[in-house]
This record gives sequence, structure tokens and C-alpha cells, in this order.
Amino acid sequence: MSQLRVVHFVNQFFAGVGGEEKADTPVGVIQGPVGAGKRLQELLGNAAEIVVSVYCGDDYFAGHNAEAVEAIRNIARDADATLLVAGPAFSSGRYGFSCAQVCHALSALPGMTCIAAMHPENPGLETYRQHKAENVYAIPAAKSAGGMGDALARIARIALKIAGQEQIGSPAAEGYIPRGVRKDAWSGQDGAQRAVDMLLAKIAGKPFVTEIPLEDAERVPVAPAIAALAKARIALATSSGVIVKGNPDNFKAHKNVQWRKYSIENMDTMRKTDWDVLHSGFNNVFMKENPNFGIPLDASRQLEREGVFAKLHPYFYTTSGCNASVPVMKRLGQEIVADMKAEKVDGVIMVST
Amino acid sequence: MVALQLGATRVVTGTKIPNPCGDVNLPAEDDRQLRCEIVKCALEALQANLESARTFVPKINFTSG
Repeated sequence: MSQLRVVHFVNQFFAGVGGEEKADTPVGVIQGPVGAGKRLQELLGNAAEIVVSVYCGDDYFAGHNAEAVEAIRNIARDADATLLVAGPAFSSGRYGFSCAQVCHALSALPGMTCIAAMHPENPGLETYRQHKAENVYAIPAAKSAGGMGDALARIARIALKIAGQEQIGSPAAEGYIPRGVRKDAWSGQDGAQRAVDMLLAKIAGKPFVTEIPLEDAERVPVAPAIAALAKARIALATSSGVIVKGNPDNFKAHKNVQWRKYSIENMDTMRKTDWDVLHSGFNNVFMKENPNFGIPLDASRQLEREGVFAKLHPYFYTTSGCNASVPVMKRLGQEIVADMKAEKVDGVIMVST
Repeated sequence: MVALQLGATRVVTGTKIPNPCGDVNLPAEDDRQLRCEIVKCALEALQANLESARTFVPKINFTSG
């Protein structure tokens, strides 16, 4: 079998460029494997060669989707690669998202197969499941880089099969995350018999496996109620696009990929301070005049003074949610919640437009 | 309701999209009182024991248009 040419996509951290401070690094190229890619190369042996590693900063990718994807696709094509490995991204939301996007874009190249790896709860998988590409496989990985060895082994297993031009079977058999692709196959028994067997097993309380798992709209569990509001810390959040005047953090009027928290310490109204509103989905005039409409600070301060709850969190959390990508907003939500939990916030009032 | 469709579990109905927590046609103090009612309703929602998603309607009257 001829040697499989592989392109490995990583983010700025796994390329060794730098950490969060280098998240705006544009697309770059390294000949051969880099970082953990070297270990992957060892596992692939002679069957495949990582001819080029391409990296992109997490924030750069998020803010320059089209350009980044175009650049990466060209690099893969010029390298004559027929396998893309993206990640492992573990729990990193931005990285998981960019892996899924790169896989989706490169899956259109002739002869290309793509393997991504990330934690099963990584919001990047929404994109993977949405596109249902039959030549893209997402491998489950651990939450953190402690699971690198395992993730690389799983990637290598599938990569070696592809190198050997073997058929890749079902998710259950091969260990990749289901995409929701349905394939026809002959079974030994007809449908009526299988259905009755399944029903008899269910009635008897015996295990059975459904042939068609129903795709569940994601059910968000109801968070437990706040037991003692008088002791609670309440935070305000909004997707209406209330931002600092002058927009120092470069929010866009739509399709945002970031959130920020801004101080409202010692303020008892949004009206007197320098705020702006940036959201192209509604008329911003009224909220600019009175940002309390989006961040009800004056009312919340009054209720805090009255002791209805213990403390109003001194920051409000904001983004502009216009035309937002659901997977992106899911990631932002997870990041905001992590911040709130670290700050011991008990409850959130989120104003949406 | 978009919020419920997307999976929000405690949903408080605000007034209008450009100013969900207020009414531009009311004098400042009345608008602020209205906002207090909305926030109070939200705080009630946070204290409600729920099995599934629910909408909460604040006790307010607001101008239309």
C-alpha cells in the first residue's frame, strides 16, 4: 500500500506557538509533525506520513473563519494529503469548533478523509453532527490533555485502517462518535421478527438495542431552585449587546464569537455611565438612551438594598447575540457559566432581545 | 417562544424587543417600577421548584407600540 499523506491541524498551543496570548495567530505551517503529532507519527509507522502540520490561533479562526479555512484547504491540497487529523481538542470549545469546521471544509477535497478528536461534550461536535459527512470521523477524547496518549491511539487505529484501504464500520464497532448517518444492511431476520423480539425483551426487563435512536432535541435540565434568595449572589447578563462605549473589545453587530464582563461596582443605574449598544437585530436607540432596559441595574440595585437578595454581582456579562451561531453561543454560555461558578454566583437574570 | 424552543427553562416575559426590561412611553419613575416588577418576577422564577420549563409573567401593564 502506498504511504498515506497526512496533514495535522492543531491550534496555537499544540503547535508550540504560545498560549492564550497567542490565540490571534493566523494560519501557519510546519513541515512534518509537531508536538503530539510526533507521537502520532510513531503510532502510524510506515503506513502514513504526517507531511505537514498546519496551525491556527483559536481566536483568529473564530474571527476569520472563511480565510482560515481557505488557507488550510490550500495547504492540504498542495501537500497532496488524503488524510486530515484535527486535534485532539479535548474540552477546548474554540479549538473543537475549528477542528470540526476544518474537517467539514476539507472533506470536500477529492479522496480526503478527516479524523477529529475531542471530548464528547465539546460544542464543536454540533457542527460535526450537523454536516453528517461520511468521510469525517470524530473520535471521543478525554476532557484534558492528560488523555493525549489514548486519543492518539484511537486516531491511529482509524488512520491505519484508512491507510490500508479497509472499510470503516459502524460507530459502535470502530469507536467513533455517531454522525446520524443511516446505512442499509441485511439482517438475518425480517423487521417483524426483530420488532417482536425487541418488545419481548423490553417487557421482560431484558436489555435491548434500538435500531433507530431518536435524535433528541437537547434537553437542558432544569437547574435546582435557589433555596435562600436572601443569601444569594445574583448576576445580570444579556445578549442585547450592551457594551462599553467605544467598543474597546471589538464586538460585532452580529455573529459574535466572544463575551465580556464589565464592572458595575458602585453603580446604581446604567443611565449615567458610558455604555453603548451594538446589535443589528433590533433598534438600539432606546437601549442606548437607557441601558437599564438590557441590564436592569437600577431595579436590581433597589432590590439588593431592600435585602431581597444578598449581593448583586459587581460585573454584568454581555455579548451581542444577533445572527449568532448556536454552537458558538453554546460555547460562550459554557465559558460564562464557568466564570460565574468560580465567582460563586447563585442565580442569573439574563435579558434577551 | 424562541427561548423555550432553545431550551431555556425559566422564562420571564419582558415588554418589547428593543427594551425588554422597561417601557419607553412611561415617565422615568414608572418605568423603573415596572423594571422592578420584572426583576422581582425573575427572582421568583429562580426560587420556583420546576420539573420542566415554565414561563413566568410579571404583574405589569405596559404601553403598546
